[in-house]
Amino acid sequence: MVLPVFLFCLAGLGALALAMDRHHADALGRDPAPRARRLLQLGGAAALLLALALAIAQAGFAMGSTDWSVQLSLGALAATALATWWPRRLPTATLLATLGALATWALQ
Amino acid sequence: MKEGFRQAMSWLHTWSGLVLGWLLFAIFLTGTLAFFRAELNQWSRPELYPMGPASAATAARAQEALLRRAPGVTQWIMHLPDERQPAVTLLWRTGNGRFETLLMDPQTGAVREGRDTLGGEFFYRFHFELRSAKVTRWATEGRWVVGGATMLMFVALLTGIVTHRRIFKDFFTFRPRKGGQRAWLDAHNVTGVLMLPFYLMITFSGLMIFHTLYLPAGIAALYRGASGVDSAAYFAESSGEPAERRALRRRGGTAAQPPLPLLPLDPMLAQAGAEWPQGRIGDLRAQRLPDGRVQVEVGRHDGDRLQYRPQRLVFDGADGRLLHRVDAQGPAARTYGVLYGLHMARFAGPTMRWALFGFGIAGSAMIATGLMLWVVKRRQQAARQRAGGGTGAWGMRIVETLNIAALAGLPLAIAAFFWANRLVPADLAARADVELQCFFSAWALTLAVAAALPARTGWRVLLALGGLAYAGLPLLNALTTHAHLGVTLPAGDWALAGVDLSFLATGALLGLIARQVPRAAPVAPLRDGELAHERPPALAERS
Amino acid sequence: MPRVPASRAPSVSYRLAVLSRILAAALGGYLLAAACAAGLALALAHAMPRAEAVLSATMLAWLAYALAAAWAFHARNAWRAWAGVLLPALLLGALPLWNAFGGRA
Repeated sequence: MVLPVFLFCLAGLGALALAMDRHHADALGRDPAPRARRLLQLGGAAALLLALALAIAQAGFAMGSTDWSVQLSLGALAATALATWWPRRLPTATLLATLGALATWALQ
Repeated sequence: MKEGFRQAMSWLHTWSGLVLGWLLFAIFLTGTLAFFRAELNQWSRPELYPMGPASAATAARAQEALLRRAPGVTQWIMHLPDERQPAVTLLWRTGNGRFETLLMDPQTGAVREGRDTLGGEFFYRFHFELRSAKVTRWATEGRWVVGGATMLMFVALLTGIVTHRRIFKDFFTFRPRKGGQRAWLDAHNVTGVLMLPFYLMITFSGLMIFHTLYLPAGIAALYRGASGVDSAAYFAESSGEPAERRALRRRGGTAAQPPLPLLPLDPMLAQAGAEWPQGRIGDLRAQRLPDGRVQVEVGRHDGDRLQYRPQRLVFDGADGRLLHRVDAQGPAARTYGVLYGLHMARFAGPTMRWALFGFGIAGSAMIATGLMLWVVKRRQQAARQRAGGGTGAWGMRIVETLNIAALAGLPLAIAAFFWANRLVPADLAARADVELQCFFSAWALTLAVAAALPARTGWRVLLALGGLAYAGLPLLNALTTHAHLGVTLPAGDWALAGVDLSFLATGALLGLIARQVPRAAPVAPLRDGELAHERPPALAERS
Repeated sequence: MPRVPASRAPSVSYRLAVLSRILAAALGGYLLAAACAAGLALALAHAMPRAEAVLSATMLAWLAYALAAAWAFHARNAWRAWAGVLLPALLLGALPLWNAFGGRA
C-alpha cells in the first residue's frame, strides 16, 4: 500500500521544514531552539529513511526506490503548500501524518 | 574562485535554458500528454467504443481473423488488449515490406475501423521526433533537434542545481504574494527542486534511449567488422538475444516465403503463463525465418516490471517447443532497461501515472516560469537603467512574444487538434494530416497574435480562448459522438470519462490563469524633478 | 567567464570569446563525449561483454559532455576552454581512432 510511504515522507519533510528558521517562525512565532532543531532534523531524516525501507520491502529495490522518490516529491509539494498557505497548521499536519503513517503501517 | 564558478554556471543556466526554452516546453508538455496516449487514442476514435472484453480465446480468434484478411502473410505481430487499450492490434508485413495494421474486437473477432487519426500517438511522436505528418521522412532530423534540446535541458538542470545557492534553505519556500521577480523565481525554484529526481531521470533517459543515433561511438569502437559496424550484433547482444536469432533483424521483403499456417498458439500461451505465473501476456509475434522455419515469440506485458523491453519466449512454430528465453542480461543492460522503463512509464498504475503526469506538468511549469522570469528580470533591469527603446528591448520583445506563443499558444493549439479530431469529416482523405495541419496552423496563428497584440492582451486573449476551447471539448464530444460523459460516467469507463473531465479541468485552470494576468501596467514612482508626461512610453505601455 | 566591458555594448572580442566557448562546449563537448564512449568502451571490454562495455561507456559519456560544457564556461579564457575539452578527447579517443584507421582489428 502506498499510504504509509507517502505519510512517512510527508511527516519527515514537515519535520525538516519546521527545523528551518523561516517555517518554524511562520508556524510557531519563534525560531527553533537548538535542541528542537536537532530533534526535528533527525526525526525528519529517520522518517524519510523509514519510508524508503518500507517502499523497498514492499516492491523490491528498483520499484521501491522509484515509489519512494515519487512519494518524496509529492510529500515535498504538500509540505510546501502547507508552509505557504497554512503555515500555522504545519506542526499539526506533521503530527497527524506521523500518526497516520504508523497506523497504516501497523494495519497492513 | 567559487563565486566565479557559480556565476559562470548561472550564465550557462540562463542561456542553455533560454536558447531553445520554447521547444523544451513543447517537448515536455507533449511528452507529459504522451503518458496518457492510450487514453487519448481511445478518445480520438469514439466509434470504437465500446469494445468487447478480452478472454482466453482472444489470441486464437485474432489469428483467424488475420489469416482471413491477409492469407499470404509471412510475419505478423499481435498486441493483446489490456485495461488501457481494449482492442487487439494486429500488424503484418506486406509484399513491399511495409506494415499494415488493423484493430480487432477481442470478443467477436470483428475488425473495427476507427477514424483515420494519430490521436494520442501524435503527442508521443511529436515529443521525440517533432512529427508533423502521419508519414514523414524527417523523423531522423526531428530526433536530432530534440536530442540537441535534451542536451541543453541536461546542462540547464545541472547548472541550475549548482547555481541555486539556497537549495536547502529555500526548499519549501514559495512566496506568491511578494509578486514580480521574487514570486517567479520562487515558483521556478520550487517546481525545479521538488521534482528534481524526475527531471534528471527523464532527461538522462531521453539521451540514452536514442544513444544509438546520438552517440554511436562506443558501438563503432567495439563492433567494427570487415564490412563496417555490425550494429545488428549490438542490438542482439544488448537485448540478450542468442546469436542464431540475429537473422531476424535483417530487413527486406518476404515475398518469396511460403505463407504462415494457422499456428497452435494456446499451448504456447499456457507455457508462457507457467513461466510467468504473476505476469500477463503482452504480445505475440510469428515469423517465417529465411531458412523456412517458423518461430513464435511470446512477449510479457511491458507493464509487469520496471525494466523496459520485457522478457520474451521463443517457440518453434511447428511443434510448439520452447527454444529460447530472451532477456537483457548484465548490470549495464538492466540499468539501461530501467532507465528506458522509467521514461516510458509502462510500469505505472493509475495513481503512479497521474503522479508522473503531474510531475510533467510541473516540469513544463518549471520551464515556463524560467522563461517568464527572464522577461520580468530584464524588464526591471531596463526600467532601472532607463533603457527605453534601446538595444535590449527588441531581444526582450522577441522572448516575450515567443513566451506567449509557446506557453499560451501551444495549449490552445493542442485544443484545436482535439476540436479538429471531432469536426473533420471521418471519410475525408488524409484526415489524420488535416488534423495535424489544424494543430500547426493554430499554433502559427497564436504566434501572429502574440506578435501583433501588446503582451498582456496577448496573454489574456490566448489563455481565455484556451480555457473556452478545453471547456467546450466535452460538450463538442457530446454533440458529435456517443462516447461522451453522459455515457462513459455511468458506465464507469474512466479512460474516456477521465479525458473529458481533464479537458474541463484544463479549461478551468487556463481561465483562472487568464484572470491572473494583471490589467494595468505597473507604474514606477516618479523620480525627483521628473514629470509624468516626460516618462518614456516604453514603461507605461510596454506590458 | 570574461568580464563584461565597462561600455554598454559588449565588444567584438567579448562576443568572439563567448562564441568560441559555445563551440567548445557544443562541438568540443560532443567530441569529448564520443571519445569517452569509444575509449572507455575499449577499456571496459577487457572486463565485461561488449554490449555491457558500450552501455556503461555511453552513459558516462553523457556526463562527460555536461562536464565539458561546464568547463567551457568556467575556464579563465577561451583557449583554456578548448584545451580542457580537446586534450581529454584526444587522450580518450587516440586508441579508437587508430583502430578506425586500420590499426588493431
